Amino acid sequence: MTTALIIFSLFLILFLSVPIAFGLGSVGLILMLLGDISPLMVPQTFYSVGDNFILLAVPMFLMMSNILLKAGVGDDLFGFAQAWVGNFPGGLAIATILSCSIFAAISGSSVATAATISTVAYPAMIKRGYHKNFCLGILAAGGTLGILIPPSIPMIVYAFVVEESVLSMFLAGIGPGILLALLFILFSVLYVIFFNKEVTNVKTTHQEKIEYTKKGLPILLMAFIMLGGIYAGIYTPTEAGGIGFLISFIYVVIKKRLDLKGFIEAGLETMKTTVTIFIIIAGAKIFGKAISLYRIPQDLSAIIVSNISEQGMFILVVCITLLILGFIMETLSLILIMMPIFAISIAAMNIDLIWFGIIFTLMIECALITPPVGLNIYVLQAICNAKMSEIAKGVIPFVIIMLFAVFLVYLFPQIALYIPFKL
Amino acid sequence: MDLEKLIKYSGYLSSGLFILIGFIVSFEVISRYIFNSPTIWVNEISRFLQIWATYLALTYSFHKNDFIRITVIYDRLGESGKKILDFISMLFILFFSSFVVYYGWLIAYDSLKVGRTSSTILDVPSFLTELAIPLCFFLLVIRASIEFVRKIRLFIK
Repeated sequence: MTTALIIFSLFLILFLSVPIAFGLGSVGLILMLLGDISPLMVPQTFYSVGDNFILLAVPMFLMMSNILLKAGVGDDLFGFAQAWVGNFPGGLAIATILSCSIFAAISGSSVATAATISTVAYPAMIKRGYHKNFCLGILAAGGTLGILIPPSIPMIVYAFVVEESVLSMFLAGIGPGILLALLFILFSVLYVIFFNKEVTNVKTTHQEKIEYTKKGLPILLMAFIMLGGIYAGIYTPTEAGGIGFLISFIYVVIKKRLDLKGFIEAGLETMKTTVTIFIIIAGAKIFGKAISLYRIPQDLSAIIVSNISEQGMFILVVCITLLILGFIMETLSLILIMMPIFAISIAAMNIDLIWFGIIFTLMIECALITPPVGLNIYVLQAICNAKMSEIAKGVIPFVIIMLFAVFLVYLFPQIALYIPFKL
Repeated sequence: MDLEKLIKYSGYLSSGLFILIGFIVSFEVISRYIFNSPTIWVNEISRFLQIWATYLALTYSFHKNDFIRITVIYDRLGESGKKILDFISMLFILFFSSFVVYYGWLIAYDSLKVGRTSSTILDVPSFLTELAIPLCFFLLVIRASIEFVRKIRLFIK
């Protein structure tokens, strides 16, 4: 009874549009006051979230993608991909997914990925006769690769909350990331062949190929330095973020791609995102601590375990919950509100937290592009001047593909777990 | 002092601190691998700066209305409905932040009194980091109170 009441009041407060961090924090605080537990833990939580070297990876990766976004590397990446695959059937769609995937390997955010690529890819695709809804769908979905292909900010936050290794999460994202990108490409090619025959392809001369490759290679190199260094154990994910920031800084300075004003904007953007994320993490931690003092996750876990005996059934229930909540909530809040509630059940069901984290990430990718609330949708509305209904139509096949990918990762956990644990 | 300016500069300071942290962290990697001399201060100083940078940005983000909210219902309401919800939000922010200021100050003051320092080689006084929480939330309380009064005035009209 208490459990239902507390969870209901939390959602009520959040839907009244109280900022999520403060809604979570207030409910936690009230529970502590009612239960005669010292609220000293509240400021301490804010302190410990800031005083954390793992979470420092968040502003570092944000800084890097903001700098590159402002420097307009989307042009280089898309041009590079287009020069090589533009001539295939559905060439520009393939180029879009490829450039999203490469940018995803240097950026931890799906919004930055969608914003970077869509400014270039959208006008190019529309000009060559691609259907508008399809373009919007592929850009929204392609952007979500940003959080599946490492680095990934939601994965850092997830790993922090469940106390798993960020490195393992990153490595586990590679396989599913490539799988999802391939599925997107496959669908796009089939779509163009069967439904969108009128598109024209882009032919590039040998000379242009060399030209574009010269522009695209430094960015590939950046991705390689960062991920290669993490993989080889040369530096931690946080330090990789620092190195990524440094090389992108050197790159834009040498290439004269960013002035002081752009640099300041990138800094401000980073700091705003960081503080909004960090206070939600702290709010969720306070809420999580408070409900565990009331034994809510334990009670919930007992109910779940006594009613659901199979892992598969449990994951299905979680996925459906996430899919529904994903329509109305954005990604990080989903992780941060759901994980304290589900954590004990996951342990009780003997589910691998890394594997579950990948499934969770795929589900929040859906949340990013399902209307009315989805950050990628807002980005595309702004950049492509599109209506929400047009984007909503466009993303339907891509959401189905993502759910299919969830199914595949569920059936074959090795897609995620092979690279971190067997290689 | 002009509050608007103070908030604006705290935002710029915060963004500068994040950039500084970026250089410090990459310096550590370079110093470790190229000069073969790992530092003892990078980890701690970067965390120290991160606490300040993060919470200095708090009031700036509030000011710019950047806090993440679920606006499904909010967006569908009329003017007066939005006013009521804004009013409720402000109550929660004020209620919660005041507690953070009070208890945060208790912690920081206690560290100051007993002269507690971080248990590392650098021996940084704990007060210097712990102060960030009550101080930055205090700024938020002031800024939110002004907003609160403004909301009430609008409401009466």
